[in-house]
Amino acid sequence: MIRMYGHGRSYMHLLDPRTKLALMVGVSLLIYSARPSGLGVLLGFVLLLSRTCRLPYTRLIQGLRPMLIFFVVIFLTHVLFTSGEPLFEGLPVPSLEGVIVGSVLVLRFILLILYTSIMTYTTSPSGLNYALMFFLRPLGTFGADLAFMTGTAMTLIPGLFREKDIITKAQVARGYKPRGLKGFTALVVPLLLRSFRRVDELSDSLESRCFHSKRRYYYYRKTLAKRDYAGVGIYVVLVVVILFFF
Amino acid sequence: MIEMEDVTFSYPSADPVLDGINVRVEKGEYLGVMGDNGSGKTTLVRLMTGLLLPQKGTIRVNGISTSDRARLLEIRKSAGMVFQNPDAQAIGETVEEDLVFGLENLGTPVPEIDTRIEKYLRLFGIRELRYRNVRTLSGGQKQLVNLAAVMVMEPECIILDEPVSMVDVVYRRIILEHIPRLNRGGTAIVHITHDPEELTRCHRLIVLSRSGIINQGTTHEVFSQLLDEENMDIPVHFAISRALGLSPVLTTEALLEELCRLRLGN
Amino acid sequence: MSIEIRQLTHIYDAGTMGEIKALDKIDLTIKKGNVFGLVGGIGSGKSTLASLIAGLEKPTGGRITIDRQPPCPGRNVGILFQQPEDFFFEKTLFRDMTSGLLHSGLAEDEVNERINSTLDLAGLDRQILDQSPFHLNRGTLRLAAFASVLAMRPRVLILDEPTASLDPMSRKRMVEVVEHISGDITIIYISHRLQEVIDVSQHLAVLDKGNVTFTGTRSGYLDWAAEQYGGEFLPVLSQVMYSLYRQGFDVDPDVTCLDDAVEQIRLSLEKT
Repeated sequence: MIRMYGHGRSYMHLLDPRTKLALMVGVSLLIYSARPSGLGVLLGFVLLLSRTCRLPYTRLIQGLRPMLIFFVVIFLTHVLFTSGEPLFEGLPVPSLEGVIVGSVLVLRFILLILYTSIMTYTTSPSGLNYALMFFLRPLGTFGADLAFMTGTAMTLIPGLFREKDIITKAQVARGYKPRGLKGFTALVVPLLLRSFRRVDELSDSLESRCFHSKRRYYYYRKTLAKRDYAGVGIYVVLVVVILFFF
Repeated sequence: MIEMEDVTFSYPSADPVLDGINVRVEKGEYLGVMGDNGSGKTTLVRLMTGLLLPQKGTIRVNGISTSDRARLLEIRKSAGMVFQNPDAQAIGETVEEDLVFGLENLGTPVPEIDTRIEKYLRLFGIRELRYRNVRTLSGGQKQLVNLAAVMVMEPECIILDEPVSMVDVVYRRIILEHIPRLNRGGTAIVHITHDPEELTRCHRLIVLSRSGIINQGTTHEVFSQLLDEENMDIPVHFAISRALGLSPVLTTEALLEELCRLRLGN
Repeated sequence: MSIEIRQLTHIYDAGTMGEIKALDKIDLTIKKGNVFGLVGGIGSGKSTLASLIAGLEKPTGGRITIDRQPPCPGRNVGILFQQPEDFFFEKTLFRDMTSGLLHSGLAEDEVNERINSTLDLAGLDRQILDQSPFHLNRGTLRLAAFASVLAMRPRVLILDEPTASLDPMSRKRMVEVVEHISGDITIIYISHRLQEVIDVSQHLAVLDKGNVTFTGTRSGYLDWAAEQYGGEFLPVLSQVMYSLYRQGFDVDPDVTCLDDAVEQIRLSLEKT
């Protein structure tokens, strides 16, 4: 999944984050309930969408790479554990049904990830935070805090992986092997200390930017425009086409 | 602007880091704070804006005591901070978002946010970075963005805690040139570092050590006194001009001018 | 023990959208027993080069040899990481300093003897060994980390920003130790304090965006840096000396010691 936001002025970029978040849920449901032929239409739709927001296909597909093992496992589980018409004479598995069920499920996951990638590529985190906060409004300040915490934690995670790499290298250089209990403490103690410091630095920075829990994300707030209604319209058409014609 | 009276601070189970310290930062002045590791420089900064509270003494920012937790936001509004590590300060994902964050907290109206962002991106020469992802910037660029994100809130005073010690040579020079310029624009500056070369443009200097404030006065006075002390760095220009018996200067241009004048005199 | 670097290329996250080319076909030769200074901005590839020479990462392309052998951490090459005191985690400093040596299968007596002798070399009190690393100050810890790398007796030692965030006093100590041990050990010295790199190194190389833009002797470096980027890569003292030299003052621009510089300026003023 692409976690990086890229600035742009395409239709998807300009869509209100709330609309996008709502459609995200809608499209996920559609991907879940569509028949195999309908998934083909959805794939076409996702690729078209990626084109309109100038996200190159190569980048879109690269986002799938970290999930490759997951796909293989899902596929193999279905191939090996679904009974049905055997593909090879004399062997109970793989069955034709298994291959079909496995492929369809993998395709559903792929579509979900591709759509999410387009979503995160076209929505700034502040916009996403604003949308989350809007939908979590019934929860009061807790909802706002939750939305903010999620957003901030997301920005800390990549740094954590980098820290882990640095510490591993430093300890290997000192003669530790990254194995066993000793190797584990050699990694975890410095990682915790450095993460605490990181969080400390970030909280100092928040203080210096006058952060307070009643803050509002109004700069990125949009009023619903015609394009948002059009977006919902396109979604309804998509639902009708996929569920009734395919 | 900032008044620290008889401030004592110690971390749990340790000797006091600061003991009976008195510091005043005047409106619009450029104050440098020099000191070794463990001399309490960073503690001093954190006390100034209420990130820490002293065990003894009082600290007031624009007349508001930092122990008045209800008015902490007012203190933060008048005193911004930039820290050492360029990687750990960005809050937004893009440069624009990072600048917007503080202004949203202040409740600035949207049109005003637009003009301020444009103004400060231009001031720091980073307009082309506006929509860039902060994570893809170099350390120096990040620090420049951090400075812009604090300045965009237009505080009366900014406190810089070793702002260039983790920045490469090129951006180090760029950032060091911006600091006196911001000061001329009316912002009071507290610049903390252990590198005296960074402090040549300060109005006033404080030298901090484990035993408290060991020296303070105008930049010239303090450097002159440090000249005779061992294990104390002073700026190269200053050392050369003093060793040659000239009136002390703090820039290459001034030193060159002085020497050329001398040569002509001969 | 010369280090040969040929056509060295390193790419992070190769094949993904986040691909970063850190080093691009680098050639360098580092002679035995020298202090070799490495200069460059953040993102220039310095730290990548350091961890490749230290054998902590495999290069994407090209090769590095230390006396015709591939680099092997803990055997022929040692590295002192940036902020090494961050990586201490044991109950006592002694255990932190010795565990690497014990891991490599040395006898306990030998380890004790090595630790004690390197502590003396670093000018540290032996009593600090019983203290917790979390209670010692940064300068002392840095020297202790340095001593524990030295105790592994590497033939090549890489120092990555060894003086960063240290005060002048601890910095001086660190540089003194480096000067003391050079000659026996080939040292690669990385620092963004230009004056310091120039003071300790006989040879220098400059990295910029993954390419070597300069390699040569100390005075060659000063000449080169005076021409580049308006003197940004020159230490302050050299900036002064070069501008005087250009103004027709009879001074040697390559002087790196403050007292010598003052003497030269005084002489050249008397001559006119």
